[in-house]
Amino acid sequence: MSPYERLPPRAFWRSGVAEQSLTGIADLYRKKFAITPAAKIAAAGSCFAQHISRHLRLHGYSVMDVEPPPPGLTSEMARRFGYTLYSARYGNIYVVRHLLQLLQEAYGHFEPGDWIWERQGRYFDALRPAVEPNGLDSPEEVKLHRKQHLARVRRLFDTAEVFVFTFGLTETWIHAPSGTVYPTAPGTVAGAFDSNLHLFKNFIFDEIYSDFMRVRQLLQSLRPDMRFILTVSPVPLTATASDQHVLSATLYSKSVLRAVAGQLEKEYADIDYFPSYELIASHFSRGRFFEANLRSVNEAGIQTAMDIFLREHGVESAALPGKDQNASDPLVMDADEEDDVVCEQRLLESFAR
Amino acid sequence: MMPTAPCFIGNSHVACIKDAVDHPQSLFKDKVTFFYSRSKSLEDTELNGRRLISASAQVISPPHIQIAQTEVDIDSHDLFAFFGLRLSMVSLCSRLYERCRLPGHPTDPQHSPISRSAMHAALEGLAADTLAIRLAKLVRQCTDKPIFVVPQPGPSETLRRVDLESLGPAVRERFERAKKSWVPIMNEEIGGVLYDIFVDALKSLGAKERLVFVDQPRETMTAGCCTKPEYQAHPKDLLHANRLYGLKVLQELEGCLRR
Repeated sequence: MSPYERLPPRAFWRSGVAEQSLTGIADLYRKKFAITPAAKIAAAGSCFAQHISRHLRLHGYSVMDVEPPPPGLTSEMARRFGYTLYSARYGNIYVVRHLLQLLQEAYGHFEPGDWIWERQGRYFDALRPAVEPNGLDSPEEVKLHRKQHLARVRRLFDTAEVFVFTFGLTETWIHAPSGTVYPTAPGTVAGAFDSNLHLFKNFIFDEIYSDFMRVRQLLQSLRPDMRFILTVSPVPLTATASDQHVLSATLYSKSVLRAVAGQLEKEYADIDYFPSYELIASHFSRGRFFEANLRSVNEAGIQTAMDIFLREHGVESAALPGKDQNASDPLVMDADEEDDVVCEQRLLESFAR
Repeated sequence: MMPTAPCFIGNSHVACIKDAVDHPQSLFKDKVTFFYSRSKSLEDTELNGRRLISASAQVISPPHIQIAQTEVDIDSHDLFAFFGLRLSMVSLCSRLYERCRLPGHPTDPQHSPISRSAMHAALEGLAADTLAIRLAKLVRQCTDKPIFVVPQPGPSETLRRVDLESLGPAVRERFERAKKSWVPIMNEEIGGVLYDIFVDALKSLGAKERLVFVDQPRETMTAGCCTKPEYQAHPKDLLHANRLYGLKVLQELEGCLRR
């Protein structure tokens, strides 16, 4: 008798993958723990995490937003200014060391170096350079914004019960003297590249694993019941500085991240892994979940992945219309909103003569 | 281009224009059709073919005859100007300032810092949602004729020091709310900065929607972006402006047409 003889269909490539319809793979994901719609969720990670946040919100999950957009910003403008993408306005966090440093900084255990960049007289927070696309007026203003941001990050992680994080990349650029990790290479959005100060870094399995363990330890020191859902972004690298072909570099990077996520999920009851990466980027999808650039994930891919996640958590994807927090805030009533007797009188005075 | 058949559309803030339009030297004398009502009443305004219709609007056609119709024919007019209709600097900025502060302005923990460019984008969004811009866009859908948008004047400087007890109960509550949310920005330090961003935002919006924004005449404003008391409609009406103000606005409008 073969040890494979009694295994379920999910264990076999033909029944588990090749014969599955493109609308999803049955039994791909089995949740490790339940998440109720009331559970306070914090979300962060690479750009693919934006889609996860959005869909969870749309389906009634309590994805926190501690830095909501000011009234009046259209949803497109809000996203352009880094609002509504995640649970705070930290922008994309591609590598786990960046996440670790953000948390350490927020709680007073880390001071980043060389983190205010300049471009044509405008100043940028190098640790989230895209959230102010036009930069700020002065370094002091950047400091003020960051101080407030860190206070909101503390509020987020003091409160959140579930943390959804998407691993994005292994490659990054580091400020050598301080070890500060940047989400973009100096000189790309702002700042200037200096080969004596800025070093390329391609994190290996042990470093990523160890960094995430420190993240977990820090967050569970604040909230011992904190649970984690990890995903790996299926979005390939735009470019690599590793001297490899970008395809090889992408597969290497994603494989390391997938391995770390798998190891963490295997070892800890409070860490779950959701296989959106496999669903979108593997043989199964035949590339159909990517746009023509073979990089951006299309809506069908996101929808298919989220359907699987939501169904496993007991939510029919079309059944629970939640609040789309990307939509513009309804305008609050103010003192000028109502036309009162004064306005009526003013019209009568001029027009009833 | 000198208009021969302008159409002025507004809420109570068009009243000062009505008072001023008959000035002997006005370009608009004896030419203007007014389409007006309270903002709340004009919410139902829609396009029916090439006519602008509201069940509760009132229309006065030259030479100032109230007519029974509640509509204006777009093709019969060669210029449109929108007055007030909730497009107000203090109103929009105070909504933002309840939650956000530009760097250097007094703040407390519930406020988030906001950059000038985010403030600009937010004000553009808030303005786009006002009745003035919504109606102007409605008209723009069916004509290429000039469309001007004139915001309502800032509240009178008197609001800063008004004794609320002296006001009648019908307006006291409103002024209490106005004072609470508006007065913090009605000063030179904050109001002047916000006004510049507001004007820039409206100009950007105007460029996108092909509308011409006509600024509140500077000589009618205090440094804190209030309207000077000599331009307020009555001693106890701190929100509306008088004929003198209307004349200044018409001069601005005429200046735009001559350019």
